[in-house]
Amino acid sequence: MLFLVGLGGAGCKVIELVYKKSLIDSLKSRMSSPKEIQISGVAVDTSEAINKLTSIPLNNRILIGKSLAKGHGAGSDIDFGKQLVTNELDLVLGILSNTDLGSAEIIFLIAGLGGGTGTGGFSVLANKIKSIYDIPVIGVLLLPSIRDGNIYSKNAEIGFHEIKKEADGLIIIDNDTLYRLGGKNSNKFQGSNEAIIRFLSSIQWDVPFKFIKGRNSSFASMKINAESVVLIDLVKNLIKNYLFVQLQENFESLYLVIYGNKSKIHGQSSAESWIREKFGAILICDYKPQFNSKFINCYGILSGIKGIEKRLTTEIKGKETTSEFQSLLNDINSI
Amino acid sequence: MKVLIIGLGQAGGKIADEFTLDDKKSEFSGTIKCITVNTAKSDLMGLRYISMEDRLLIGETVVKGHGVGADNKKGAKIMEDEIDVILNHVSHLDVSNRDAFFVIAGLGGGTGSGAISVVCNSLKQIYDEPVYSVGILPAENEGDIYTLNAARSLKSLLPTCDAAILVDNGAFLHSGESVRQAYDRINSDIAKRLGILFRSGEISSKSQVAEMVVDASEIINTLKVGGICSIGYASEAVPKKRIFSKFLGKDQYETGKAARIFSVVKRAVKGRLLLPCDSKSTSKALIIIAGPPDQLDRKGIEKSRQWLEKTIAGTEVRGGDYPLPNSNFVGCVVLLSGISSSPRVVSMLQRAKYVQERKAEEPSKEKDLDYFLGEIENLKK
Repeated sequence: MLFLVGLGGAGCKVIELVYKKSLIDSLKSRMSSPKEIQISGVAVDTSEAINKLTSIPLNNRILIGKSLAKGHGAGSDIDFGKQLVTNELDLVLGILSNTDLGSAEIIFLIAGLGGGTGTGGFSVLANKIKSIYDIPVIGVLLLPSIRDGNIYSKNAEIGFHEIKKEADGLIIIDNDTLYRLGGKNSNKFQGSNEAIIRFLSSIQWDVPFKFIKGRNSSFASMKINAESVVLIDLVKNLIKNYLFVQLQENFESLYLVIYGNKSKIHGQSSAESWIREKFGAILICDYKPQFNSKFINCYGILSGIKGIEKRLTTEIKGKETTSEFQSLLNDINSI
Repeated sequence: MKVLIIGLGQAGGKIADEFTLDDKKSEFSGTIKCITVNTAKSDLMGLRYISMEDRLLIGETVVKGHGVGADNKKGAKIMEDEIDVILNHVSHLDVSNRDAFFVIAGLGGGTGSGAISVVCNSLKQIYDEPVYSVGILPAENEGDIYTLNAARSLKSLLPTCDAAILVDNGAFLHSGESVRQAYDRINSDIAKRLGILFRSGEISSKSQVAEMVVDASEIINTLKVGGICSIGYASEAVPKKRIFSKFLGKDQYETGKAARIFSVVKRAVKGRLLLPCDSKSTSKALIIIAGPPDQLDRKGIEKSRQWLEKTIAGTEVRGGDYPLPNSNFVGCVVLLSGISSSPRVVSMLQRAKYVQERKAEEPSKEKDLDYFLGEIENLKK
């Protein structure tokens, strides 16, 4: 069983999608990928916007910082976000203890980097959960797009280094890659949020966890409308077009979960050698049976990605301004 | 953002009145609560929407309800003497649910001009919530006494409030408008712009949640730099959708969305600021883009934010969207804070300095009389 904790505005929206899945959706996905894993989750936020996420059961929605932030969030202020989460850590832990968190294999702590609550509160909450439960905590981080603005990039850079120390491993989704999923502002993040849920729920985590542990990872998911495929093409396509980060440098390993008929997928050795030569990485394939053989579902976990820190480095050049009014005001008598 | 607005003097009262109307019409009724204070009874009676108990008359013993006649020293004195009346009234309103105070006054007149710094100062001492002021500057051609009043009032105001949003009464005058029409329009402009700012982060059962919510904290953090701030607003109508176009095969992909948003934002920053100022001298900014959800194009929003980031001197541009499903307009509200250069304010202060110096040199009337009497005495001799 997986347990998700969404922290801050972005994290809570992912949790919303866990519960939003209608009955038909869940039946559909059961048909395509037979072993859907049970997920439950809790959403924690400092903003009243959490009350609009009505798909999440009320007991799993936690609004914190009511006295200090008055339900208005941390306002993209990391330190304030951290303070709010620290102050009410006991409340959050109390609610978590009433859920089935204790029986989870892995806890995924989902947060958007760039804001206040998620970015600032992550390390505090992860640290506390780890000190109480003996369950690994993996961070699922949504990086702000470079286009979102300097303040969010700067927050992400500061937050990332703190979070890295506390989490047992990180799965990173870069919002810059969302452009290809593109469209309106109103469903800006829905594509990635849905992909996260589908991905987390489609994989047996016990083996991949070893690859993720202590490293920066990301994922890619892809559906091919064909019965058979050459593996090297699939891998190339996956890395180039469907990965949720922009690959700057090398990575260590690619763990592929393929739902499809093993005998219809060719050329594993050539794919392995391609990945070794190009990235110095290893390829692990895990084949799962698929009832519907008309298409192939494929999930890839890339771990040990280098250069995430470099992507997050922001250089902010602010200009100094001097007030024109001050000297003039000095000459004028007050009332 | 739930706010308590205190409108001082005639201009402040009228704007508070507009806010009351604006709040009544909106779906987030109760976001804005207004009270108004004046020394002139007739001004208080002229208001339409604020409830009677929220109209406070002060200084009756001194000026008998006739106003202070553009004497802001008197206005300040009366407010200092009767500040408890206002504080008592405020304490009965649900202040703990409010996120900020906005004290509004015309800086050129008497009551508001003098009282605004007194009210800000006392509110700051009692409450933890930030106290912002909205000051209306007199138009350039209104006369020297108003200019001097405004400069003095501004000097007293800046150290007492967390941020001062200034509005130029002379900004974008329309031709052929009567004075009354012009004032009404500016007042409703102020209410409209600030109203969007206040409501954008509020959540009701009907409303849609924004992708990036501009919560009260974002506004407070933007205004944290303090100093002089300005607000810009621009909007553009969205072409109507033809209901049957889908069936008639005329359903086309709309191409102008991103460009429309970018142009609206540019217009709001460059030309439609309530206080004309140099946007390059701003240290922080907040941008809210409102409109029907299907018109809020992501590329347009991102592009305009990047542009604003490059334009201002500082580095912090906060922003968000405000989906309005039933609206026919795409609009943009820009809040610029920590402005360090505005030709309008500089020219006002320079003029005020000149007037002040001339006033000091000017021999008083009594002195003149003494002089002439002395002359007569000399003649007698």
